[in-house]
Amino acid sequence: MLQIRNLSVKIGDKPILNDVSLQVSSGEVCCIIGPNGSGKSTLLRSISGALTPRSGEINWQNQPLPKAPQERARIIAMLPQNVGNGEEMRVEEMAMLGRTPHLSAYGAPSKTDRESVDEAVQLVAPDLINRLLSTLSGGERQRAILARPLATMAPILLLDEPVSALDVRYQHEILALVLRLTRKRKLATICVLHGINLASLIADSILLLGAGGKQIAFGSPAEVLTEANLSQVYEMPLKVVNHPISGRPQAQSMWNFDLDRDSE
Amino acid sequence: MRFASQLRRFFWPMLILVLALVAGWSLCWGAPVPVTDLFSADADKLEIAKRIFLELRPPRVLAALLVGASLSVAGAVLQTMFRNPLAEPYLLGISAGGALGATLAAALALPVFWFFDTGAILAFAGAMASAIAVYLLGKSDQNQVLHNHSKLLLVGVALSAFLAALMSLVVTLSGNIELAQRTSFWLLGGFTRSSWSQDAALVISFLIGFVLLLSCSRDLNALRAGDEDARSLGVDLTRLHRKILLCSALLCATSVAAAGLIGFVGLMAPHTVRLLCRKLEVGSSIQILLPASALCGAALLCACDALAHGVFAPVEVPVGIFTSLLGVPLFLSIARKF
Repeated sequence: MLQIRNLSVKIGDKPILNDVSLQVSSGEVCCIIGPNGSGKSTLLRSISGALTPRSGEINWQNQPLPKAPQERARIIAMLPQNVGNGEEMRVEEMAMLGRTPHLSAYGAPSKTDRESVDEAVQLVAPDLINRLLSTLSGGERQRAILARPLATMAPILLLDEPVSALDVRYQHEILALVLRLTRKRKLATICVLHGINLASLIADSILLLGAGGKQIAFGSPAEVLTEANLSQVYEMPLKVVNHPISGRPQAQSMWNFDLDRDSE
Repeated sequence: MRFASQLRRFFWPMLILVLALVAGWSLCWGAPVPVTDLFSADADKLEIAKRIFLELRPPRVLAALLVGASLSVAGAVLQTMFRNPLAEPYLLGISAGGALGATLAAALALPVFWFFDTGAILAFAGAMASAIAVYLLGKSDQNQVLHNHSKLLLVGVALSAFLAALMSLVVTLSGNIELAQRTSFWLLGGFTRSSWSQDAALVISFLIGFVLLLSCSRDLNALRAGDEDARSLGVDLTRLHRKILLCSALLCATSVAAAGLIGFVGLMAPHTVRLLCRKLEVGSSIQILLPASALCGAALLCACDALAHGVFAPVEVPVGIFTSLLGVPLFLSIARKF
């Protein structure tokens, strides 16, 4: 189980994350939602070790996470929000980078490494395996790049907006894949999403962050996604209804689009 | 592309063959006597030919090969670190730092120990200092190496100008006319003073730099995806950056100490290799890029040196003229795409 207790991050004097606590068991997906600038990416970066938190602790299987970058990267596979260029790389090469924490310093891949990469690429983008990243469309690229954290075969998977550039069908396809792999490989998955409703459909637990990285609520979708919570955090009228089949909460916009309102 | 996969097998043999051909060409071309004199029955002719082709030319050709390889490896790895296709020891001012160190040693007439003369050591100190300076100045506020291509180059240009001014100051203050003459030729680069002992220093520094860099191929590959990505993949960025700066300064310093300021080789060779890799679908990993850049850069600089001593023979022109003539158009064509 991944357990985060009272995590706070400050950059300068500005609080980015304020007293955040959550836990994710193996085989569960936790979605982080919240408005822009609420510290969602910062939380993932603190877990991956890119940032050092001001206070709080992060435990994995009741042990603090290792400080050494390579050891930590073997446990945590992360997909950053903006994956850097590397445009000359083929999709397969990019996926092989996911094996970085397992490789020797020279970096010659073993049979296990090749198999992990193959499996990962076959899962998310079998049609793109030999393409150069620079020749992919935004959606194809996002799909292909997901092969990298999957190839790491780490027990913790951190995804920062993995479907932001995808159309509705691929959003569902990729998130369904993430959910399936989380169950099958017993991953502790944390996924930052912008879509409240999509998060509600796939998440076992949801962390709702508000302005200044303040934790508003953590719990099951039904507990977190209440009208009061959402309207407060997003500062707009939202109505919560239940999904006709799964019964999970779905937020509906109550925004007034009446164009004549201003002229009155 | 079945054609590409057929050609892929010839990638390494082709590079090695080109290297051998160029080295042979550079050895023979533009000499005052034909190479066939080596087999002459005339004892005088044989003596002269032996002196030229067995004593004078080989260390020079070897120096050109080693300097080309060193500068290209430094260029390839700097391009990876700064994620800037135009990063190169000469353009970033690292060479100028080395040159200042070497000039300083010459002006003060510091003694020579074995083959690692004080010139090379001061050159290394200078190159290292300017490598660190360009690294720190090219960084952005968020503790990340800047992705803004132009700023890095502006820093390099400014640094080069500053160091060149210091160098002129050193030469002027030394009041040594011979040094001034030598410096002005040396600033354009050339292999006229090559010797076996200098080659030994070049071999050692090349091997150290090349092996050190190749031995962190895994991290360098991860770095190609970006700093943030590399960090999340478990790369210790600070250590890696330090290693890159150290190795590129070393490769560059011994090259400058041996042959003066030679620009654009570190730009041309890695880009030629990347183009070849793309066309032949060899892949673009560091494990291929570094050795292939070394071979390609060696062949390239050796060819430029052949042109330098052969085109206007018996007049010899600085080799830096030819590398610039070839390199600037490439630079501009890459810069246009920004």
